Amino acid sequence: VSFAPKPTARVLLVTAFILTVALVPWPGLGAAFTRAFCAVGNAAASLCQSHPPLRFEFEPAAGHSWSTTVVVRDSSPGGGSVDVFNLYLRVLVYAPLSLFVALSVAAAEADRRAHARAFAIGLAMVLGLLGLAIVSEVTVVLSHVWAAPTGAASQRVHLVQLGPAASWVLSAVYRTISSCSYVFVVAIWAFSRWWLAPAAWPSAPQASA
Amino acid sequence: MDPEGHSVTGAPRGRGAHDLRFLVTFVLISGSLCFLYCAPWQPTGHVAGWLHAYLSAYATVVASVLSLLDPTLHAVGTTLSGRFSIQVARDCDAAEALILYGASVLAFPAPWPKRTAGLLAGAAGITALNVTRLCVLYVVGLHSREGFDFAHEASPPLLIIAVLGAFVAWARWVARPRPVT
Repeated sequence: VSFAPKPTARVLLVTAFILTVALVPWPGLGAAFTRAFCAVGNAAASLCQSHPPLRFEFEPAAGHSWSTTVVVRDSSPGGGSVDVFNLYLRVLVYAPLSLFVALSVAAAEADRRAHARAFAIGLAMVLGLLGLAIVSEVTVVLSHVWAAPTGAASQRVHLVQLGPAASWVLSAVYRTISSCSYVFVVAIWAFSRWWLAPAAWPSAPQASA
Repeated sequence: MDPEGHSVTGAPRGRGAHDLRFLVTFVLISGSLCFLYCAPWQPTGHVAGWLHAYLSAYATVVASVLSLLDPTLHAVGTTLSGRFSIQVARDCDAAEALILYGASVLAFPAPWPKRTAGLLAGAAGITALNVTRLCVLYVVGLHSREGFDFAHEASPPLLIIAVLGAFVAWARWVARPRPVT
């Protein structure tokens, strides 16, 4: 009886192996992952931003293959850009995603269609959670930038104004998700397995003391 | 549900709800603990002070173990200072692994004595494993900066996998059939 796929030892060993391989600093992997992240992040950001000509974008950070720079860009005449801050994607995004993929691949079930659905839903939840963390941090930092303008772009429009309580909560959300991302990844992985393939789960004991 | 008591996905009636209760309880406990641990407390407040004292104690324990290998090593606050320096920061104390294990054990339907035993044994085991991890990181750092970076980033998720194994072992111990007397 357990809340885990069987045989558990094999699944955990395979997970550890896949994870270790994924976390090896392969040449070119960081730059490729960062470019992909920037493309996806900018596509998502373009859907959410409604204050042209001011917009924020993700750019690969110079000299750091696993980092992206959040840039505020003003495309109006006389506008400029402000580099707001860097995000270290290897720990913030890549490692949690690798853990989720490793767990999912290692615990693959015979019913591939159900497994694929569970994987897709779990992956969407993990990406949504990480996106929430990044949006929280970007919002807090942008509010600080606009509170103390440092350049042409940040002097034009105050997009974000946060009170101390809102700023504290958003910082807490970012820190909680980024520092404990593996806990949430494991929870999402377990939930996605339970939701779409509950028959694959061994039962928990029914009686409690 | 069909008339024979199975859900549309094939799970027996009631089992899915039981497992979902475990998952929801786990998420509530782990989320709360993670929030308490990670919230941006005042740097000069009580919580920050306790955390600094806890991390300093952690560094002292690691230094006392590593001093057997490197007599020059000593702990200064949260920093291990020797032929190579490591700072024991907030995320270096395996809190994430402890929260994952603790929330899993607390959410699992088991008698409280077995939960208590699981929590104590698990906390001791995870702490010992993490002290070993920090010692290995120091030794690796002595020889290779790249090796240190890789081990530093790869070891936390591997610790999480070890914790999953520990929880499954505990859950099986809890649910094992009792001998008939």
